[in-house]
Amino acid sequence: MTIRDDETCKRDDDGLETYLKQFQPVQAAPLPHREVVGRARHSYAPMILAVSFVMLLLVGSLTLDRHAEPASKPALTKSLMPAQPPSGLTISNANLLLKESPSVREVLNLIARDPQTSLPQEGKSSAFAALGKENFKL
Amino acid sequence: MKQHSEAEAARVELLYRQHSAALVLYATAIAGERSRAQDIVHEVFARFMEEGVASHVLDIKAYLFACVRNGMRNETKRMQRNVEFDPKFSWFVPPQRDFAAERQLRNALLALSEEQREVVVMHIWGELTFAQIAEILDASANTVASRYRYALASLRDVFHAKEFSL
Repeated sequence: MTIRDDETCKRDDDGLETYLKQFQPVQAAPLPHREVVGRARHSYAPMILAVSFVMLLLVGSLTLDRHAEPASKPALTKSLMPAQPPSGLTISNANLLLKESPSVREVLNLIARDPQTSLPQEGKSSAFAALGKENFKL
Repeated sequence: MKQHSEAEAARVELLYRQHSAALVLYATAIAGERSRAQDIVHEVFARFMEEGVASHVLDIKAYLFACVRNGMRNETKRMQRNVEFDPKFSWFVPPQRDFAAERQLRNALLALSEEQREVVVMHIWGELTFAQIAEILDASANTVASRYRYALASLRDVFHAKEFSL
């Protein structure tokens, strides 16, 4: 290769480089910010762990309380139970009793003991009595 | 500590704005798929966000290219797959919206060997010197210059009809 050829090549190379540099690389996608989130997560991690630990302790203690409850439950339920059921056997009264009593059996017992619920009010007769007065011929 | 982190993050963001286009182009020219290339560059900068850019690094641009190169090599090794070039995506924004020329340039670059291609991309669009490229590739500056000359000769043949010498 002669000196002249070298110079021509050099000039061509420079020209080609200039031409190629006119092609701009396509812009890259924006940098995602997950790293910042990651950094924040790191700093909150001990707090999250501490809160989780406290929650675990709370749940544990509640569970233990629940297991220990049966021994003292009767006294507690007795004190909560009304000495006398609400007067009149209505649905709302029955609901109230069911809500407050520990079992259905206790509610039934309470209603059975209540004279107001079993005896008709003064001046009124029970459905059985009313039917008994009728003369049916079968 | 927090202020230091924010300053470091701002520095990394600035580096990304300055060099990401060339880095993604470089990674695309080697990895094939632009999405893969983009992921690798993001991974590199994500690490910088978390750990910060090593303070002892003097030539940050060459260091970025070296990091992307290592990332690509690790990823290729991990995925154990061959490079497949995706012809759908443009690598460049061509002058005067000459998309035919863009395709021609892409094909011409792909026709080069990988060694020549990475030298051309780093030198022309990464604006790295032969000495910097030699450092990244762990080769001599003469080897790098030689690869560049051969690559440019191949490209000149392709663009012979163009009036680039004006």
